[in-house]
Amino acid sequence: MKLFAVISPVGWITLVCIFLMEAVFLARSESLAGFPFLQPTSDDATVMAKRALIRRTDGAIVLIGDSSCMFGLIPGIIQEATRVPCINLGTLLSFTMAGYESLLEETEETHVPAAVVVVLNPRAFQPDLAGARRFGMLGRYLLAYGRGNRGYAPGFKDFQSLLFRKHQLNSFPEEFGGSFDAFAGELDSTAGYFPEFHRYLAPKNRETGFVSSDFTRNALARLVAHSRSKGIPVYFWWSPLPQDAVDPGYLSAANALGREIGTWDGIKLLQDTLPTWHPGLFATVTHLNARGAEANSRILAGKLLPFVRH
Amino acid sequence: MLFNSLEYLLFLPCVLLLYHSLPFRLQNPLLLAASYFFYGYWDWRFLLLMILSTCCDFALANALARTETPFARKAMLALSISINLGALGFFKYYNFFADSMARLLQSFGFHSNVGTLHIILPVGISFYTFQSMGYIIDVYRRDIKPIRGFFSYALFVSYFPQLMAGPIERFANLFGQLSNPRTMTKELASEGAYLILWGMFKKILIADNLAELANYGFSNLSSLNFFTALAVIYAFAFQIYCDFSGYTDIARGSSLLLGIRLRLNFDFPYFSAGPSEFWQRWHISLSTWLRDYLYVSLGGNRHGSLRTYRNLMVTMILGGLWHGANWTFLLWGFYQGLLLVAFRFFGRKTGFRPPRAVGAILFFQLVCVGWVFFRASSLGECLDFFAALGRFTPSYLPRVHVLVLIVPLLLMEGVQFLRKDMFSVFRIHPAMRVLFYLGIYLITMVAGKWESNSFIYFQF
Repeated sequence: MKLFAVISPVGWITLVCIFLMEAVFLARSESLAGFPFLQPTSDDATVMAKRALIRRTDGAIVLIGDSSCMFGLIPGIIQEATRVPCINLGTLLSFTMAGYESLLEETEETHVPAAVVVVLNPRAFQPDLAGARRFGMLGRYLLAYGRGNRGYAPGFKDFQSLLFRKHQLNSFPEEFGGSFDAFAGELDSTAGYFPEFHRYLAPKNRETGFVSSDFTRNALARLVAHSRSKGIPVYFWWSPLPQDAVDPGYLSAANALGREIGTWDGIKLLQDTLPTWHPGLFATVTHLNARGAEANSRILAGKLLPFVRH
Repeated sequence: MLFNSLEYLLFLPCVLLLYHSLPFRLQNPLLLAASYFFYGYWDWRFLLLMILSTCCDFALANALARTETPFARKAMLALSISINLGALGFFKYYNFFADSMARLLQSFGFHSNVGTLHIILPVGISFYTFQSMGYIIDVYRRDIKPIRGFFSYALFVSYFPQLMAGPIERFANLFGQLSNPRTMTKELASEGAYLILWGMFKKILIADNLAELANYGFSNLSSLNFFTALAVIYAFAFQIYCDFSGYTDIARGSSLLLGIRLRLNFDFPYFSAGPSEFWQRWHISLSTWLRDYLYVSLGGNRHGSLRTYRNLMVTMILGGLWHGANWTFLLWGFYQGLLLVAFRFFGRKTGFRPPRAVGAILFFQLVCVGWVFFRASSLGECLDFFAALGRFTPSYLPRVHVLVLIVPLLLMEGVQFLRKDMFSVFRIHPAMRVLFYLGIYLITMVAGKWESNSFIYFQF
C-alpha cells in the first residue's frame, strides 16, 4: 500500500506509542471515565459511585431518582425508622428516567431489593428523547457498561462523547470532596446521600407550565413493570418544592400526573399531593438542605413503615 | 462533518486507504463522491444547492469560452455572477437587508411589509461561491480555458478538505493538481500529518479553551474593567486565529495526505507590523481574491492616491460584509480600510517605521480593536466593550488562566517565523520529534474541548 510506504520511521514510532498508550489507558481505566488516570466529571462520578452501591441493595429499600433524591433523602434515617437497610441510588436529572430505569434494572439483575421508591422532582418528567441525547449521560452509561434500554438506542454521538470524555482532564469540584475517591467514600458512608451546602436564593420567577414527556412516562412505566415482574414493590415519592418556586397551575398539573401514576399497576403513591415547603428547608430550587433532607427522610420513613417494616 | 469530530477522524483514513489503493482514473471520482458525502452529511438539501450552482457555472463558463461577442460574454458573466451573488445574498443577507430596510422605513414613520424569513445559511456557501466566481471571471478574462468535464469541475468546486471554509482556491493551483496523477512522498505525508496534528492542537486545545473566556466576557460586558476587557479581547484574538488557522492547517494537512497541496492561508499574521502586511498574512486566499477580482477591477492604485484610498475602502468594506450580515462586520471592514489608508498615507508622508518587534506589538493592539467590532453582536455591544476599557473597578473573570495557552503557540510560531520555516520541527532530533508529537497529542486529548465546537468561519 502506497500510503504505508510513505510513513516515516518517526511517524511509525509515534503511531505505535499512541496505540500502546491508548491500549493501556482504555484497558486500565473505568469504563465510563478515565479514572484512575484522570478524574471523572461530577456527573459521571455520580453514576460511577452509585453503581458501586448496587452491591448493598439486597433486601434494602432502594431510593432511585434524580438529584432531588440524592440530596434530599438520608438512608440512615429511613433505615433507623424502618429497621430495613436503605440505599440511595438517586443520580441526576440529566441521566433521565430511562437512566434510572436502566440503573434499577442493573440492580435487579443480581440483587433483590425489599422495595423501590422512585423519588422525583417534577422537572424530571420534562426531558424527552432529544433532551436525553443532548445530555448524553444515558448514552455514555449504556455504552460504557454494555447495557440496553428500550427507550434509548445509543448513537454515534454518544460513542464520541464517551471516548472524548474519558480522555478529558477534569478538576473534581471541591464541594464534592475534591476527588472521586473522596466523593465515592462519602457516598459509601452515607449509603448514597450527599448533603447540599448551597444557600437558597429565591427564584425571580415562579415555574410555570409543567411538562411531562412520553419518553419519561414510558421509562417510568417500564421501570415499574420490571420491578413488578421480579416481585419487588414500587412506591412513588415527590420531592418537596419551595413554596415560592412554582405557581398553582404547575402544581395542579404535576398532581394530575401523580394521580395518573397512582392508577398504574404495581406502583403506589405515598403522598396525596406534591408537597411545597418553606424555602428555609432548601439549598437550591430543586435540592433540600440538610435540615430539609432530614425532615423529608422522616416523613418518607413514616409512610413506608406500614409496608416495609422488618 | 466537522474536522474536530470522531466522524472525520474515521472518514479521512477510510478515504485515504481507498484513494491510495485506486488507480489515478478512479481517484477523482472517489474524491467527488467523498466530497459530496462530506458535505451532504451536514444537510443533503445544502448539497442540492451546491450541485445546482455547479451546473450553472459549468454551463456558463463553457458557453462563455465559445462566445466571441463582447456583449454576450459580458451578459453571461453578469448572469453567472448574479446567480452566485443571488444565492449568497438570499441565504446570507436577505434578513439583514429586510430588517434594516424595515427599521429605516420605520424611522421615517412608514410601515414596512417586508418580513424576515427563517433561513438557514448553507455552510461553506461564501467559500465555494467565491471560488466559482473567481473561476468564471478568469474564464471571462481569458486567463484560463474552461474545464471540459463536468465531474472535474464539480470536484474543483467541492473538494472536501477546503470546501467548508477555504482556502478559496484558484483554478491554476487546484485544478492543475487534480487533473494530473499525484505522487505521494514521505515529505508530503509527514507535512500532512504534522499539519493535522498542529491544526487540532490549535483548534481543540487553544481556540476552544479561549472561547470560554471570550464568550464569558462578551456576555458580561458590564462587569469588565480595563484589565479583564484586555484579557477578553486577547483571548478572542487568539481564539479566532487558532480556530481559523487550525481549520486551514487540518484542511491543508488532509489534502497533503491526498497528494494535493492547497495554498497557504495564514502566514503568522500576528507578527505583522502594519495592515498591508497583515492582509498578506491573514486569510490570504480571501484577501488575494478581493485584491485580484475587486480592488484591481475598481482600478487598484492606477489612478492616483484618492482613487486608491477609495478602492481600498470599498474593497475592505465589502470584505467585511462578506463575513456576515451585520453592521458590526461592515464596521470592521470600514476600520480595516481606514487602517490601510492611514498607514499608506502617513507611511508615505513621514517614512516612519518603528523597529519590527515594536511595530508588531503595537499593530497587534490595533488588530484587537478591530476584533471588538468583529466579535460583538451589535453596535451597542461594541460601545459597551470600549466603555469597559475606561473602567478600573474590581472585576472577576473566570478561567483567565487559559490565556497561558497562548505562550506555547507564540513560542512555536515565533521559531517558525524567525526561521521562515513552518516545518522547523522536522529539523530537530527524531527522538525529540516523537516526544513533541506525543506531547501535542496527549495535551490535546486531555485538555482539549472535543465536544460540539464548530469552527467560527463556518458561519460565514
